[in-house]
Amino acid sequence: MDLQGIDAIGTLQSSADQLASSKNEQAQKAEQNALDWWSLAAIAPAIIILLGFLFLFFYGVFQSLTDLKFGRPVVRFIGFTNYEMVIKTQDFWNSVRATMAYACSAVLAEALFGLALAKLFASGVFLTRLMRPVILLPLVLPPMSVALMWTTMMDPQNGILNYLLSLIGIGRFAWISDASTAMCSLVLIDIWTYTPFFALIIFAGLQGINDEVREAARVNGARGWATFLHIELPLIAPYILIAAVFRLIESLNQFDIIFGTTQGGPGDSTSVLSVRAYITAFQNLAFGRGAALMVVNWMVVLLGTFVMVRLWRLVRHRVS
Amino acid sequence: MPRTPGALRGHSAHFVKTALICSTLLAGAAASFVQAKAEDINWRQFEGSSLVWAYDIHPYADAVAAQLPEFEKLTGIKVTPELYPDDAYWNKLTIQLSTKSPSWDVVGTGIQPAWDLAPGQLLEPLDRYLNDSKLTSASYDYKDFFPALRDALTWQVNGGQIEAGRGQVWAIPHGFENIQLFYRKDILDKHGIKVPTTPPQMSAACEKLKSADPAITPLGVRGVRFWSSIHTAAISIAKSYGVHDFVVKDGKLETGLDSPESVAFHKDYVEMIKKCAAPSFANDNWYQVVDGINSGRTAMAIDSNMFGFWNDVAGKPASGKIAFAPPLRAPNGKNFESNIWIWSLAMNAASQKKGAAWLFIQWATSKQVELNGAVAGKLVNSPRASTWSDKVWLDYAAKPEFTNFVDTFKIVQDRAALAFTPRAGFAEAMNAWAVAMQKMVNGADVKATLTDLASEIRSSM
Amino acid sequence: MRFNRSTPASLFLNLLVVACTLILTFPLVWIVMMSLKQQAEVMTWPPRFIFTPNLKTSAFCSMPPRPGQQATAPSRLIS
Repeated sequence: MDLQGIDAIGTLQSSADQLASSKNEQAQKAEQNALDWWSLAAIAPAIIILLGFLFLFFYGVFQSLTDLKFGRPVVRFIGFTNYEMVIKTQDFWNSVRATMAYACSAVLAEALFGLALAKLFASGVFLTRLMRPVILLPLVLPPMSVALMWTTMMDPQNGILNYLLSLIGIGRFAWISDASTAMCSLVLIDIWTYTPFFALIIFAGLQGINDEVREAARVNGARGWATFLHIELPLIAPYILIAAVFRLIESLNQFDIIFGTTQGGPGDSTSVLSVRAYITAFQNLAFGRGAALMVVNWMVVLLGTFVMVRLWRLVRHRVS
Repeated sequence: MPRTPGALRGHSAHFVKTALICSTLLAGAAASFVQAKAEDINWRQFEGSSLVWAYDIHPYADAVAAQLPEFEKLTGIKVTPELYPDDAYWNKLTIQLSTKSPSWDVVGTGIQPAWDLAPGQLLEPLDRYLNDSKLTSASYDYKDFFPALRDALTWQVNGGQIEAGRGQVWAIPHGFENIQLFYRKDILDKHGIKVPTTPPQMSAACEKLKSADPAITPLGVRGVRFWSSIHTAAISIAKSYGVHDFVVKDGKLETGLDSPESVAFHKDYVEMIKKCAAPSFANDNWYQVVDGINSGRTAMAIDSNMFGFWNDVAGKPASGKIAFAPPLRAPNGKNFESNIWIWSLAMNAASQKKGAAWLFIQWATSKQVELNGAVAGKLVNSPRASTWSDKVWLDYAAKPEFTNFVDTFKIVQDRAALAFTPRAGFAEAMNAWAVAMQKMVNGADVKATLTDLASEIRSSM
Repeated sequence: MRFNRSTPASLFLNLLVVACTLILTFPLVWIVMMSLKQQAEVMTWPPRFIFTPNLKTSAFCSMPPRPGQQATAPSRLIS
């Protein structure tokens, strides 16, 4: 996770570099003409790894077009039959809905809470300096242990969460064991785990705002709330959106937290595409159909990311 | 510490028997020792190799693991147990074997998962080893395993499907379980509740228990979204309602899960779960069921009988408080039914140390290891007839803390049988059933859900 | 920041920081506490926050055994 944080910052920087370097394009062109073996050697590993990934990806797509099933002696090419069969079932659409609901609500809530948390820690009051490292805590835990931890805490009979709720007079709650609350509970776990990611990136954005800008706003008579809404928010919007892009990709693919707690249940209430694909392929051993579901999941992620990146570009354009 | 004296007694009994065969009482022990050595296979032929043995975290694994130092002393082979929690184990097993990874040599499996694994040639057929006099000791006595268990683990693969009853041996049983209702005597007595025999009776008992003590979960059953929640309570009770997972119709296999019997069963069963089971039903595996019985938070449970026995062992908090009864049956049915599960040891076809792996399987399922495990209170239902005629085990199981374990075992075992139709594709159909069960418990219409379930199973056949 | 906040505002913000920190750390702290309890204590209701830590059972019995552990420590299986 923290790797991704670095990635995000890296992306931001590299795009800034690109803008700067466009001036000496002329000079670079001349260099490019001479074949630079050293540069080639330097990027070769990256290209090989990329080709490997591409190969695996296309192999997966190919699998999704076959009736590959465990123990079946002959594997036939069956075109889009897997997709047809999958799309026809109601369960599939239920999974698509669950995937979207999970990802959208988690990312939205995380962005809001992350913004609040970042603002709070940017306020610079005494305790923030002491507590800053704590923000990172949920991010450094392996997602599977997060899932197990929350399963224990959300136990309907002797989980600590129900106890804490009972202290303020709220009756027992079934959390992940009830179809009607399972999805909310999972989103809650996701929010706890990944809000710090947003907070971290937005915090970096807030630090990057020149104090003079704020000063100028204040001189012009803007009060605290107005400064935030009209000056700060537009300036950190690209940061929020880039974090949202990363989180959206991850939560549309989310597997660990969901499989580790409910395995997609109760019933089909939290059976998102990635979990359904895993169960189809690795528990039911229908690899072809599982691959088809994974390809569909990939397309959903692609679509979601595309929209988010568009939004990010738009916002960045308006800000700069 | 019942284990150490038990094991010692086991040893001495074994020696006495050997001595009698040799019929020279005085020099008997020494003579038989030499003779046994001469006839026996060379146990040290794979000295120095090391094996990985994968298994569920389970008392049966503990029973064998506790005796591993003896195996190392006997053969010079080092065995590393890799134990995983139930759900994780089955997922990992499928992935390890289907990727043909050689890292696991010996794996624990049940028959049903093996149906799915054998057609892909992921398990090594064991006949070759069983019939090799250089590899299998004459005293191993494969015929000593109960015939029903041997038959269940023998089949041939034809066109990707299972043909049961003849063919090759795919795994060796080392412990089995039959499904029973076991209950906390102390709790039922305290509230004056009679042991229920049908699901509606159970529902009534649960309501009574709940109103008497809301902190108690009346019934512990597995409900996870995985086939392991089907093969215990659900299939056993379903069978007594006349439900079959698959039936042969016009020479073709056809699912029986949308039959009128199945609808009747599910109505009763779902009603019972709603009234009896813990709110965490959808996340409960056997760990939760056993823990509930053990701590007294759960009054009754329908699961493998050995979990009751295991917690009756002297020194456990529930020792002497758990009693046994046959599983529930249909209200209009004559008999109860009990599914069996056979924990077996199988060999990974991709293993590179098959000889050593066979020695381990052979040792782990040998008469002595089975008996030692049984009297340690862990390997409860030995698959060997010899264990069940051995006085050491019978004396142990008849101890007062095990209440009516032996009597109930005898009654249930008469009707205990594999309730599933041998078929590759077991996991897919049964996982779908588990999901449907969760939906029905959540309030989905029983008939409609079963129709959907049946059409889902048909579409993948 | 260079603005000077009024004392109540800064106190309130400090309290908010404490609340956030609690929410972020509590699950972890709770799980660590659980790992130091005995099985029966883990299951008690209401959950207890003060208990005598038990290092012996927690680390070795309630967690899945690591490979090889049983071969070297059979004594724990006997009891």
